[in-house]
Amino acid sequence: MSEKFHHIGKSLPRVDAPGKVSGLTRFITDMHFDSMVFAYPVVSPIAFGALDGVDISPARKMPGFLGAWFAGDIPGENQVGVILPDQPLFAQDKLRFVGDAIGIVAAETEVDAISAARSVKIDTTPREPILSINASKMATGKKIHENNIACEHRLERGDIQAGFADADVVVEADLVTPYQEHFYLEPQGCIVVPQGDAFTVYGSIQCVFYVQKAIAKVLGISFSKVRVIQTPTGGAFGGKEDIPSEMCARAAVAAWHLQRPVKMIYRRRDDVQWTSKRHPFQMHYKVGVSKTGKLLSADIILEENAGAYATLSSVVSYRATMQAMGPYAIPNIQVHSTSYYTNLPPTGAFRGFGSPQATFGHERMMDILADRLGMDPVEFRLKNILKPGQETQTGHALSTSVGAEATLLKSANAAEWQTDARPMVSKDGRYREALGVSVCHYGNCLGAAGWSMDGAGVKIQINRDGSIAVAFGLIEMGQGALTVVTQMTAEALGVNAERISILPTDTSQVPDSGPSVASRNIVMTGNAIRNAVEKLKPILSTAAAEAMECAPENVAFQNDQVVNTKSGNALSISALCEYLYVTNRPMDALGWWHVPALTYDAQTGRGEAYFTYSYATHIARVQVDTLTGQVRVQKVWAAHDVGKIINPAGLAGQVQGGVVQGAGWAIYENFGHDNAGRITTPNLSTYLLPTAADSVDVQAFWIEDPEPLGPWGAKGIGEPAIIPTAAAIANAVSRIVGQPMNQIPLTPERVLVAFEDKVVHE
Amino acid sequence: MKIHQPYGLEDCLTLLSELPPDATVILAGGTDLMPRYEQGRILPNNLINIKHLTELQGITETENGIEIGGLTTIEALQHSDLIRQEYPALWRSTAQFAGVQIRNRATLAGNIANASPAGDTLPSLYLYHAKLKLVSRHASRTTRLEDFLVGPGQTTQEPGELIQSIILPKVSGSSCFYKLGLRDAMAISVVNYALRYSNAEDGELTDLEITAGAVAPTIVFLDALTTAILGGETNIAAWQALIEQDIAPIDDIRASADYRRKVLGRLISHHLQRLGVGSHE
Repeated sequence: MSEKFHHIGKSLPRVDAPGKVSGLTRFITDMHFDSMVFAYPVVSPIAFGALDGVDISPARKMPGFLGAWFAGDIPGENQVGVILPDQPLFAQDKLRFVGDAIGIVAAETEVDAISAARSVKIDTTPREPILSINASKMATGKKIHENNIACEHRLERGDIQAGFADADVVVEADLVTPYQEHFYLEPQGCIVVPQGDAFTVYGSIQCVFYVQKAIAKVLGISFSKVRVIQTPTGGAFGGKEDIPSEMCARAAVAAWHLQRPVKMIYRRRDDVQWTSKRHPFQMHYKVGVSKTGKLLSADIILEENAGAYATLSSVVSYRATMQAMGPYAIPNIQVHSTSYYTNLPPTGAFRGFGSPQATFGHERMMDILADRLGMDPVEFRLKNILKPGQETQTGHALSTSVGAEATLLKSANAAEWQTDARPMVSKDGRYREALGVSVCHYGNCLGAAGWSMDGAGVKIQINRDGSIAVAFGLIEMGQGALTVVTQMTAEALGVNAERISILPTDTSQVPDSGPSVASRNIVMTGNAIRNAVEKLKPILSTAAAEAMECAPENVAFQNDQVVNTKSGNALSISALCEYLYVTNRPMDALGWWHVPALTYDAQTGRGEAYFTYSYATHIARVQVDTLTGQVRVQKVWAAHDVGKIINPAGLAGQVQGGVVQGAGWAIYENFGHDNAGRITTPNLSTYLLPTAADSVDVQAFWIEDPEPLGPWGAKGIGEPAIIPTAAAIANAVSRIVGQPMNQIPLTPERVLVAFEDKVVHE
Repeated sequence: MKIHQPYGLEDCLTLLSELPPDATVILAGGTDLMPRYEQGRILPNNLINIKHLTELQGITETENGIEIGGLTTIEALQHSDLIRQEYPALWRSTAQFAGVQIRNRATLAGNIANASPAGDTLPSLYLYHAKLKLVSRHASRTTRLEDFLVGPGQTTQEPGELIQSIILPKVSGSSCFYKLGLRDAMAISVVNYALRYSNAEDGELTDLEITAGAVAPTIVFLDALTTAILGGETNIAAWQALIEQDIAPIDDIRASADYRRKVLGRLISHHLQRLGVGSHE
């Protein structure tokens, strides 16, 4: 593109960095209000069974005890299910996981609140818990809810039987992916401040409008009585999408009764045990190909562990279904996805949202098929990769911004992938190395399943001194939103970034902008900024023309000035803003953007599942210690089609973080529970995240294939950054050990067993 | 809870003698103690902070070896040329111990008193036949480390006693330490071992000792293996069974007993082969 940008494509340093580096940023834990008290939930000690009663007399004797409230004390509706109404705020008769909230206790200090909550006696009749997808499926007469299925999705296109009949090779495989815990640096926390019949909520929150809705429902008050203000949020990764709704609503019940500000911060061990995780998937893929390597047919079964409540399972499962066969052209496909309830913590949103699981499925299959065909994995992918004009698996013909092939070629080239020699770097010795490849696509924004809420707003307010305040409906959670919103506003207005301040996200500032998820901030907020500026520009131009005594069409905004392009005269932005004020002109505008209508049929799963896709290829060079089974990722070549780069440094950060988090899921992170449904990895010494010493050398490459509907051509990156990594690593390890590694994490034990199997069979 | 800050070692020993042993805990580096306290697993009435007692810090060369003050930090050992040159297995274990923030606080006596089967300095200390100097208000005694550690979290420390120092005799031969963790830092050992050997001038192995951690309630000497090898058992296929005679691993969150058995055997066999010992007969 020949258009010259002043802010887009530049690495503006993070605008939130000085506060975070200096320690001046005040997180929720640093905040205090007069007469504030502390709350902590009373939770189920058992995974499954009946709640027979609670005895709060031990808590009453605790110092500073102020009160305890249960299901019967909820002023409004006892319901916080985000999609299905299956989740009570406080369990009333049935307990469904260890950590299921029963009530809330408030006390004068945090320590007192926690001690008092723990002292409450809970009478239960335990039942044997259902702790796996298979146990849930097989359970007869033992139902966690009305039945054990949380949701289902289907996709049917073409004729799979005819496709298999035409195929020369048909391969089936079972694949398993595990939980993943977010381990955001800052645990969940909130403060609910009552002011008469209204409530202001502060918190570490991803979706302020979800929290507003949940509190209004639980307290039986209108949305306009609930104002939610996001505090600087120390990481979320999807873990603060739905959980803050239930957490803030619980604190709100205490605040409603006490009429005092109520603060609640989960302890790390509790946070890990009570809050959402990535869905474990078990998948069965049956895929047919011609001997020339063309994909002909796929029959895919996805099964997900939803945990005790459906929460976001329905939309996680939708995404996995729509993307189950990856960015490849395939004429015949059937996908059936089912989420099963179990007596474990509810699983929900986690960076990628079903995509890393589905990508593990299709990318392992692509390698297994290539192997069966005797074809190089990259070559085989290139034969099938989605190109402009071809239809996605849902039958959506994409004409523009289809950079899948470019990412594959770019990373294969950079990694010096040798299609003739097979990508085994070293075959002998204790340490053996190989390359593994993985390609993904990611539907931007909420897609057809969430279309009704896929709009977002921005309010731009110009002050008479020339400074500009921007309120947006999505949030910063560490991903760099404040910085790109600053850049996009500066670009759209033609002013310096220093003029712009981004306000804390606040439900009272902009209309319901939906959740800050689905890698949708740049696309949604960027387009909303352009919309706001379209409204402001005529006002600014007319005023400038008036002030400079020229025609409005000769007014241009350049380099932080207003210029009369005919005479060359210029007016400072500050002078223009003062002129706007004294001439009594409107000085703000609300911008809005909504994803255009999608033609999609939920019965068949056919149509425009998402309006556009981001694409990525990761190639991993992996080393296996054949003595111990230990896996190390030495390097990842990551190529991403992002449409248009907004901030190169932020983009690189997203991809580096995504790769390391993906490697963590693939190798180290091994979330566990015992036979009673209690989490056995509730801290950082048992749940192993990659440390700095384990981090991966990432070389990133950018493909800029502009998306016409994206602001300046941009698409989302937050989630694509993690999606292909695990499959690339598993593909490399499979090659090294000579066995299909179809289950992660690739613990040393699992890898060594596979390697020894191989040696025995040889 | 009352926190005591003694003025010096003598004051500390007086406090220890006067406070009820069941309700008193010593705080040195705190890297094991504080997580336990945070989890509510210990709630002592009395906490005696000894971190600042300089008389318990430092490494001293003696006629027969070295003496390490109990409060010497892992990081200080890591920066000691004496340790690096004379006790390379211990030095290596301090390099692989947790992460730098923990090494800066954690003390050698703390790693011993914690008595974890997976304690990273312990196989090396066993290998070097470490002794502990224990002091109390009116007495002091010296004990072998292997007599001090009796099980997971269990020691023969008497009420009122403090680990004053760790004594390492001079050693001959070459030694090294190996740790298998599930990641490259901040990892608790799945298995670890320390190995010491000497060669005659013709290269023949004259001395061999191996200690292993995280495979039994305490650190163990792999005596069956080393005795057999020194007695001429060079068939690698026979070694695994010999190693298994001295270990009793368990399943835990990090690995199965089976994996521990297998991987310890594979690592040690590989290691010995690299030293020129053993053959596939």
